[in-house]
Amino acid sequence: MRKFIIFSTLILGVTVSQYFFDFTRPKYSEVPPMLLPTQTIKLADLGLHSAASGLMWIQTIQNIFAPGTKYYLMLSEYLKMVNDLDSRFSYPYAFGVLVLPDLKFIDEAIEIGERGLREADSDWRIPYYLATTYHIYKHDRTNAIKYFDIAIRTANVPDSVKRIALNYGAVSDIRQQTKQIWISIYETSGDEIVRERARLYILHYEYIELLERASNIYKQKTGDYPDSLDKLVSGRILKEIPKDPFGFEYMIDSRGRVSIKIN
Amino acid sequence: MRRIIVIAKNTFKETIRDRIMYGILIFSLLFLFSVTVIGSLSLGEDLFIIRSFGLAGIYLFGLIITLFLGASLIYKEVEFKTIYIILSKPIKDSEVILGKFFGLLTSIASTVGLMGLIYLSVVWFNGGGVDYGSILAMILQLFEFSIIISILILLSTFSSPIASTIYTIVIVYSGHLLTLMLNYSANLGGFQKYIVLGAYYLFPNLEKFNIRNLVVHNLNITQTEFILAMGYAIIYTSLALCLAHFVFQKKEF
Repeated sequence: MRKFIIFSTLILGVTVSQYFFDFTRPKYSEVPPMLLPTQTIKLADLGLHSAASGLMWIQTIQNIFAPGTKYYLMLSEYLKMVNDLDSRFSYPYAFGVLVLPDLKFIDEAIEIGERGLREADSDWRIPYYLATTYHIYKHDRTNAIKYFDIAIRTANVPDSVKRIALNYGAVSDIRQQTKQIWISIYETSGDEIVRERARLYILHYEYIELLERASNIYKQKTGDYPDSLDKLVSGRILKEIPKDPFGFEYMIDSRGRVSIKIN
Repeated sequence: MRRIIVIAKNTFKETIRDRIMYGILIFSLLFLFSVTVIGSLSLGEDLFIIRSFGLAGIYLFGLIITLFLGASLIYKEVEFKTIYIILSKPIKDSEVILGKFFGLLTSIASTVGLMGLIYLSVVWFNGGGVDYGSILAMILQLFEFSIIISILILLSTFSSPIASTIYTIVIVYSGHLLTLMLNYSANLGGFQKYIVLGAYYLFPNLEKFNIRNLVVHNLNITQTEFILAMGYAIIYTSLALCLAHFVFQKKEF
């Protein structure tokens, strides 16, 4: 019993003294996350480069956005350190492409993303975020289409992402321009795989055009757009609904616009 | 052969009872369980962190245990004069060396096996399935440890445990940086180049046993690489043990 009281008192003493230490401690400015030369880390880590890269990744994301600091301005350098240690670690690339443009480092984000595509494990997030960066920050539809297409072809890409990427550039006011980009790729590429890919996209946009034309005819006949595409067949406007070359279903909205079904 | 097994068994029992080893082992198991928490700090890259930290932990803790147990293996017998009792029996010097080596290797393999089981369960519970690549990484790690143990035995025949530990740490570090040395030698000319190349081939090249950076990305080495690495470990271990036997024979008890 006596021992128990002694131990309990000592543990309580430790806890209380720690509490008061934290309480009375003056607020020092935050210490920035470590930014060490990659070669130095590689010399010291006994070949455990992936673990070192993981450690640097955690310390970067835990500290880089510390309130009241501007460490985030160095984010691209921290991400470079993480990926110099393990160039196959894919998420830091994707994270960089996603976050850096918001911090006004658009070109750095693109550079990081393109390196990720060359060196990292296959990860759909890198081309997908690159496509969104090109679309939002660079207003460059050609590159956005290119990277959306890479994202669609990446292993383990979620269906929802595929559908969103396929709908990119498919709204009627920019569809012709998007289709023209694919037609130019089809006509200029010497690579059979790229040509086949372009052919599928051209077909995809042509089917959407066909379905929208048919729904306009339906509206002329009935006064309303069809609430489902099947009505185009039952209304004898089309013999059948064409199958999307990428294997998804088409849908029509209340304004007669056709796209890939999102869910 | 029977005498080697008897010494190996005794060495195994002796090392497995060592309290220092239990301390390190418990700490390593706690670390392996805690990698899940570390993984959760990584913005969704849990499995990568769990696997890279887990394999790094198994390697580093295994290395610490090997250094602690191996550095005093022969030295202790000489210091406490128990070697006289062993050598007064019809046992050859080489059998003592081999028995010590296999005994220590078995206890290190057991600890790595235990850490490996915990690691595999942690990966499995975190949705990583059965991590076959990591099993291969741990097998190669044991081949690396067999070289380290043989070097420790060699060093402990003529130096104190602290000195053996320091020399071995230097050798292990150099062993992982030899590729850099080879790249460096390409820029050198004449005699210097041959000295660097000599060191490159003479020091144990331990980086060939390091497939941890590959398996965390689900990549594997080829069968030929695996067989060559095993062959290298067996030859290097035999060389170090032969040298240890030679030094041991020269010692006057």
